[in-house]
Amino acid sequence: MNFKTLTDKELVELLSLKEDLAKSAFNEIYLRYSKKIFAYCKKSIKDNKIAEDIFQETFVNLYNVGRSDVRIENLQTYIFRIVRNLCLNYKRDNTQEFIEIEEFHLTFDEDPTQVKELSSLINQAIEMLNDEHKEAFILQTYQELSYNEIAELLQIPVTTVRNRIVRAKRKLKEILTPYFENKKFEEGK
Amino acid sequence: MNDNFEYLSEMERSLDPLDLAFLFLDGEANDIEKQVLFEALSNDVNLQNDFQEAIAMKYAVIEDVKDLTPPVGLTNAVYSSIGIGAATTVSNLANNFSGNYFTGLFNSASSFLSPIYMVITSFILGSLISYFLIQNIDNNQNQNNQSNQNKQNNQYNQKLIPITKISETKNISNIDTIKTNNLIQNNDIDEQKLSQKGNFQNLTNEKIKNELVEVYQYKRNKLNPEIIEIDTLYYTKEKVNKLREEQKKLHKNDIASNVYKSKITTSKIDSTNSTMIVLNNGVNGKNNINNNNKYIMPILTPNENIDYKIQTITPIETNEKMNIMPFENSIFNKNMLKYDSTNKILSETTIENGQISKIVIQPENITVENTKLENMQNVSQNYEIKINTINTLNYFQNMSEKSDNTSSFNNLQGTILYKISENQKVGLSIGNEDYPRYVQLNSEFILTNGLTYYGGVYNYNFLDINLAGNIKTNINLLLGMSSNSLVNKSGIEINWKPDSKLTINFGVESLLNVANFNNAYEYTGKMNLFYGVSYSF
Repeated sequence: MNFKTLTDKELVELLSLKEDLAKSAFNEIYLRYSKKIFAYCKKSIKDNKIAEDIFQETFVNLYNVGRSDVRIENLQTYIFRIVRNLCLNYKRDNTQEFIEIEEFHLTFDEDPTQVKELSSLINQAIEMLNDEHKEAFILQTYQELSYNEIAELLQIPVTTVRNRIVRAKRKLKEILTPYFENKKFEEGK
Repeated sequence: MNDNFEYLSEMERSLDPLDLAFLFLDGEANDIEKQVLFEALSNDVNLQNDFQEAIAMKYAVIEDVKDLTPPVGLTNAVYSSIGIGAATTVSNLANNFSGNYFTGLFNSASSFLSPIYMVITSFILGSLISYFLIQNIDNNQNQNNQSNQNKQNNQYNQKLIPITKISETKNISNIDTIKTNNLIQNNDIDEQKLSQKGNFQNLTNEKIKNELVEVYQYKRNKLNPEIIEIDTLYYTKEKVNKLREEQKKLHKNDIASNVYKSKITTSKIDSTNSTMIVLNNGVNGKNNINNNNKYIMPILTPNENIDYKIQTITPIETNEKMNIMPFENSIFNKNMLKYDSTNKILSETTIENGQISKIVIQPENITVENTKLENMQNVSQNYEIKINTINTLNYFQNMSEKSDNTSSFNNLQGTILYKISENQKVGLSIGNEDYPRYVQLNSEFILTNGLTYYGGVYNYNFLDINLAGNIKTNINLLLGMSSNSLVNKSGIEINWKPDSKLTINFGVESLLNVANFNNAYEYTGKMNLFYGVSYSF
């Protein structure tokens, strides 16, 4: 059986069948979603160790749920709900202090490549966003979900999703303004 | 910046060109929003700068995503948690050739190893199935043989049932007297003399043309004279001729002058042409002619339990003093010995003036069947050379999920086989096949066609079908190797032997090739149609 050709729904159905099939189906699910889930964990949780624990727990939970009688309608939505809930639980139990924009100082590497440098700055700037904006931004940029998919996942209107993402990007751009200004200055020299 | 931005109406929000730029880059802007954005971009230099910065941000995020891959250790931990097994670092290899991150079966040790397990498991399973299949076939054949033996024994026992019906009789062309219902009675036969020398040798002269001659040898049971014991022997043509000469010398002065080589053509009642063989009655010569001048003869007929009528009987030679004397006849496959259970004879012929005047045949009597006649042609043919053309019916995806659907008609396989038993042959094979193998080179997989292999062959004949000559059905197994791979073939082959030495082959087979490229295993399967000829010697 070529599991790559199976749909998410078919893979979920296989999860509840005999163990060999379930493991093969899980393998395919892991191949499809591990990168996105990992990115979500890394971007949502600052602590790498905790992020990896949540990543692992997400897939183990998914496998166990798949083996149980619980019906999974939409695999992508379901798996993001698992990881999201785990992240929210962690944040709830370990309240993170927001870094106010005035306290935030961008740290420039001496000689990074431009893209790497900007990526690094964005990662730092993401921490400046509030949870709702940050989550919407991460889901859209790192998980490559559409606005509609995010709305379904978060169970909020699409317009709200759009507003949150646009807000997040505006704020990121605002945070990164010194960087861009500096670039313009260097280019103008 | 409006803090209540989230709660603005869509119309109000969409009027901000920078917001439209973000929507556009996310692929979420509609046509109207795109138009508004493009108009704004054409007039607003600041917006152009903002747009460039937004693009830079998006590009930076995309680059960041590429570097976000779960570490192998983390993947190992996930897989171990659900009992799949440790992952390996080969995922990058799969990523490289697949062009898509996290795809390909190399991503975990389990999926990497599973093809190897599958091959080993398939081999063991296939061997077990073959073993049990062969065992069952052997058992079935033994049971069939036993059944045939029982049947034969039953037939012998049935000889004791009196049969009174006499079939048609017909005169010989040069005899003007036709005598019907001329039953031979016990008292017509010199039983004592018959039993003294009661050892008849019969053969089918069709077979004498070939390499082997089937000879029935039957005699009366010493304890129960009612029972005739029958043995089937196989003589070479040379031996038959030698026996003839010996018989001639032995009975030089004691062979009846009226032993004839005759041709008797018969037909089935359903008008299918067939031939009935009438043989002379052996060593007693004239002593077998009783007082009523009747000549006792065995008769071989082609089929079982079918009535025959004699159409013509044509003496070919007369006064030939031979004991074993075949008759000219056409081909027959199954021979049946018919005899009268009451009188222990097969038929009787009336001799008048040294000529056959009448033959009486008992067509509905109990029969003894010989089903091995045709197969005996192969007794002395131990070797077989075979050449097959191989056409690919279907390629299966290999473990890289790459396959080549191009059928090929340029494949050839040569094999030499040695018969180790009646239904088993072993041999060596060399073949060349177009084969969709992907060789790993610098993280890329390159399609290579062509596979030359050498291997051992095992051939098991599990079913004979006697239609249109001699048809055999075989199981073929091949285990071989090429420069960097193992080849395993298994298939079903049908042989048709229009001639004792020439065979037409036809069959289907599946092939599994397991290769090792740069320490990475690769397996590919396909299904073949093959056909060709073979020559036995």
